Amino acid sequence: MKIYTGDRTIDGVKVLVDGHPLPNCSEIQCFSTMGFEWGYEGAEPRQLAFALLVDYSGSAETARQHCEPFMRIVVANFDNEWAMTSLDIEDHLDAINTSA
Amino acid sequence: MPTKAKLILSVIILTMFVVTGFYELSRDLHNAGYAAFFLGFFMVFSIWIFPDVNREPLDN
Amino acid sequence: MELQDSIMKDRQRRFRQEYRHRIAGWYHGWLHLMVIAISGLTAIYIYTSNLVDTQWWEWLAVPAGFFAYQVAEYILHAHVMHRPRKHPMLRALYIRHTLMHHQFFTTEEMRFADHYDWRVTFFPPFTMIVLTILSFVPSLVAGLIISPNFGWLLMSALTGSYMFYEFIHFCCHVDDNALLRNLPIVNTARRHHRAHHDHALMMEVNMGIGTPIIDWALGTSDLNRGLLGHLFNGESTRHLKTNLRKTERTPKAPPRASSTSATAH
Repeated sequence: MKIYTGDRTIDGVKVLVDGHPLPNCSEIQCFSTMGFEWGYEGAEPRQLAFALLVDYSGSAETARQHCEPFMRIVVANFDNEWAMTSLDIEDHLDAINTSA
Repeated sequence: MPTKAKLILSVIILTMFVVTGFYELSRDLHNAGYAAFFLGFFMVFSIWIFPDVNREPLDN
Repeated sequence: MELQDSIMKDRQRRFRQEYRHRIAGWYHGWLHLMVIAISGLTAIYIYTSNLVDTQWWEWLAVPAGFFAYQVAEYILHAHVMHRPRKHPMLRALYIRHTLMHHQFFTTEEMRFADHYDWRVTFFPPFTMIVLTILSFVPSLVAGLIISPNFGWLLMSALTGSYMFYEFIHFCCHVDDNALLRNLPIVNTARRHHRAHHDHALMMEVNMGIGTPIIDWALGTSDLNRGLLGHLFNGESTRHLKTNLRKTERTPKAPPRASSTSATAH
């Protein structure tokens, strides 16, 4: 099980997967080159959603399909400091697929 | 703030207020003219002495 | 030094300690305040020294300048200070604001401990410089097209509006007292700004600081009220919108509807 964390620190936004920086995957799909952000709906949360889903699923196509609802339902509602496991992401993807 | 940015702002604001100062003097507004000279140098002085916050920027 | 009677969480306490430790060189809050005051008042003195036989309609430059400043403040706050940008100077504003000011001050603790914390409360001196530079061309154009007095008054109003902003923002982060609780406009700003410091809302809501006018106009206020209600709301929370964003550390998926899925979990 992977653990994803995000924090706004004095040195910058820090998004980690199992303690290592999460790749932003902008070379696969670029919604924003400004870095990750969350707590609203926009390009940076969309990039974060995409990067999370690519890392979780290993599939760019899966990430593209679910990126938008995942951004709106999850990433836009991340608190200032957040944490999520791969099980949490699985639950959210199941819910998104069920409601689709 | 990067040194280059401070330099650019310093040059622009000093030029603005020195020109303003001479303009005021030309209109016999001596107090305003000297105030403009003072303000230009005061503003430049203030941005150079103001302490920054040390950061270690992250990659992402 | 830190506030003793505070309910702030450990994370905020640790951040405040770290921030204070990171300030390079010396800093003195009262000197910072003096720099802003001396710069602003001297500038306004210079501009108003040029007024000659001012007509009543030329004074309209003052509300025009004030309103223009509110719009600029809103745009800068909403689209630069709360959004990472590519340009280094714009990005620096986001870093200083979202990653420092909003971590130093939260709804649990909005107060600074002493004048050394004014470093993260007041804008740095370059703000007055940038404001002056950016105000110059519109004021010059106004002065040439409308009248010289109008141009000088517009420049004065823009500078004065920035000083008004610093005053109001300071009042939002100072310790509570009976005067601030009952002073119109100030008490409204304090509640409005405290709500903005809620991490769930800070990226989208209550972007105006000097006044809530633009938030009201664009629907980004947390209140469900008219314009006058917004301006004179005071500390009331009776008119909060019911659909405001609620964030969580770990947003959970809704429970699955089918009984099979439920027993599986």
